[in-house]
Order: sequence, then C-alpha cells, then structure tokens
Amino acid sequence: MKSKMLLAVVGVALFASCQKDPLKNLSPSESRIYITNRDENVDFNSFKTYNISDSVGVIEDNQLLGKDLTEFDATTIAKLKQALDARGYTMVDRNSSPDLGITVSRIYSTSTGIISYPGYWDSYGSFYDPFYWGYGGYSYYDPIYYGPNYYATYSVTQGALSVDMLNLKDAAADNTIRPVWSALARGTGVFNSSAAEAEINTFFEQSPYIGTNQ
Amino acid sequence: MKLPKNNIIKNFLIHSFTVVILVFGVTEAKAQDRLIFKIGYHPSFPLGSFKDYMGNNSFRGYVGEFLYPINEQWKVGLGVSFNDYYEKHARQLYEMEEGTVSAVVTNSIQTTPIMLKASYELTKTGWIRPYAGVGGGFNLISYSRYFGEFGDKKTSFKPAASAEAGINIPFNRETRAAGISVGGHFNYMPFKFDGLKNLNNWGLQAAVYFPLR
Repeated sequence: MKSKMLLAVVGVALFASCQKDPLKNLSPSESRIYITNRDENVDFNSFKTYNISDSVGVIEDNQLLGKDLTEFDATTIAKLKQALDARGYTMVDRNSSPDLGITVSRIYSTSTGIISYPGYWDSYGSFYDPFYWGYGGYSYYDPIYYGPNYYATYSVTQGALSVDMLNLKDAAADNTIRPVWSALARGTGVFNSSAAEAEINTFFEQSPYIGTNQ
Repeated sequence: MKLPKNNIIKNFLIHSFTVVILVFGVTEAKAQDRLIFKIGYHPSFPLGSFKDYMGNNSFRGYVGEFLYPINEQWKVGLGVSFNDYYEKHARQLYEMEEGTVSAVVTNSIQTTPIMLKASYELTKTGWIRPYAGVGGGFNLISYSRYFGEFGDKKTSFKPAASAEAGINIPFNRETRAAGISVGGHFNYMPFKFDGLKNLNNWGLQAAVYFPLR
C-alpha cells in the first residue's frame, strides 16, 4: 500500500518537473534583442557625412559616469564606421560640420529594472554636450516619435548598448539637435567584444533605409 | 460587501477542493480496496487557433487520476494532467510599437487542468473494455513569451472541459482492479490573451491503473 501511495505521489510530482525552461535553452546570441527606431520623416539619403564620438558614454541610472574606451567600445566604434562607410557616408572631422553625429552609450540600470527611454533622453544633453558637435547652446529634441514606453515591455537584467544618430545638418534651423535613428542591443554578453560586430551588423541589416543611395 | 472577481474564483476553488477532499475521504472509508489511481503519459496536440500560435506538439505530458467505481461500469473522480508546450522561433524581425525588434521569440505554455471526471465502460465483460468519459473543472495556465531573454509571465485559472474515449485492458478479468488504459482526449480550454483565443487540444494517453487499497 505504502509503495503504491509513494508511486502516486511521485507520479503527480512529475507534472511540475517536466517543463522546458525557455531561458535555459537560449545561447548568449539568442538571448540578445535588437531594437531600432527612426524618424519616419527623415530622408537618410540627404546626409552625406558623419562623425562618431571617439569614446563611449557610460550611463548608470540616468547619470553619466564618464566616457570610456574599452576593447568592446573600440570594436563597436570601428564596426560602426565600417557600416556607415558601406552605406555611402563619409567620415569627417567633427569640426568639419558633419551631417550626422553618432553617439555610442553603455547603459546600466541597477534600480527599477526598467530603462525609461524618456528618462534617458531627458538627460541626453548632460551625456553628450551639444558643444562637442560644435553646437553649444543647442538643445536635444526629445524623440517623442519613439512612443512613451520605448523599453517598458522589457525587464532589464543587464546593460544595454545604445547607438544614436543625430541630425547635425539641420540643427541650426531651430537650434535643436534631433535624433533620427536609434539602436539598442540587450541581453547576455551584450558588451563582449566578440559580439560587437554581430550587434552592429544586425542594427544595420534591420535598417535598410540608412544610406546615401536608398 | 462585493468581493473582487478573483476572490470569488479563489473562494470557489477552495470550496470545490474541500468538497472533493471530503468526498474522497468518505468514499475511501466506505469503499475500501476500490479507490483506483491511474497514471500515464499524455501527449497533446494543439488545435485551431492554438495550433496557429504554437507549432509544436506537447510530448511532455502526464496524467494522474483518482477514480472511484460507483458500479461495474461507472467511475467518478478527480483528474489532473499536465502539458508543456514550447516553441522557439528562429531570429526574425517584429514590427512593434517600440520599433523594429530583432529577436529569437520563445513561446512557453503549461496547462494543468484539474477536473472532476466521470467515465463509463461500455461492456461488463471481456479483456478489452471500451470506455468514454467527460470532465469539467479549472485549468491552471502558465503563459510566457520571451523576446530573447526578456519576457513576461502570466498565470491564470480558467474553466476547462474534456471528453475522452479509449479502452481499458484489465490484468485480471475477474477483479478488474488493475490494468492498462489507452485512449484519446479532447480538451476545451478557453484562454484569451496576447492574440490567443483558446488552448484547445487533442491528444493520446497511455496509462496504468491500480487500486490504492
């Protein structure tokens, strides 16, 4: 009798133990997601030159901790240059009035577990001083076209790589630097140097509208 | 005072389980040597709109039932089954409110219907005894959808009903207390969430049954 009861209990316990865990069946590359967004009103063919910041902003809880240039950062910047060159843009010195300014950020969130896009942009001017681009006194335009909850559907467990493309060519029209494209990578190993190329390639593969001949 | 809907459901479930436990307690006392435990393998296959959402079948499925024979042909009891549905899609692009998202999407759904059951054996004699049965109760559903490693999980209780048919093959034709059972089932499982309309499925089962006393 006891053995039969034990068998019954063990059998029922099997129910709960036979689930395939989605998170344990993902490779690091599969765990990563890539989100890109754009200003639908912008013709990317109208830009010809760009400059990319020579270091990466490290942002934690909406505070700029400083600029850094790790191996990952350097690889990311190099791959961004390659991708932009391949799309027909020309790298110029930032004092030569580039049409586009490219910033790269490593974002960490250790508090709420959610990165709020509006929060990120609220402080953007403190991360990237407009003076850096030669537009001192200008403000950054809050990209409301991204929607109010850009990252709200995802919980944050690691950092995120963010790349922003800024319209410097038209900044003087209303003293505002407007973002025209943004890309974000998140997931396991997102800051591994070996992942940088795949991350940048994915950003551009899913953004075919970027280019001088599009 | 009007109770919130969740509390009403929770109270109903607690009371239902209490009744079931009491009934089993009484019947166990009255029906020594007759309470039957059935356990088996229970693969399930999505149907209709559920199949559109979940392309993979569930081969991780088990069933367990406590059945009390009220006469030679009828049995009533409590059944619990479990099925795990899992599908990982290759990386692709999704146009979402948040933008263009490239992700490996994994859908994971677990169903655990807990049902009061009744089954009827069509014959009283013979080695192979066809049966048919119905069940009704609640389904504990765990739903999750992951974009990469980021996702949400939702758990809910929903009503569920089932129908099944198959054959019982008793080891001993006279006592019929133990044997094997094979058959098929259909589960009606409403669940409206995230584009899903239901979790209806059909499946097979192969089980052994034996008396607990």
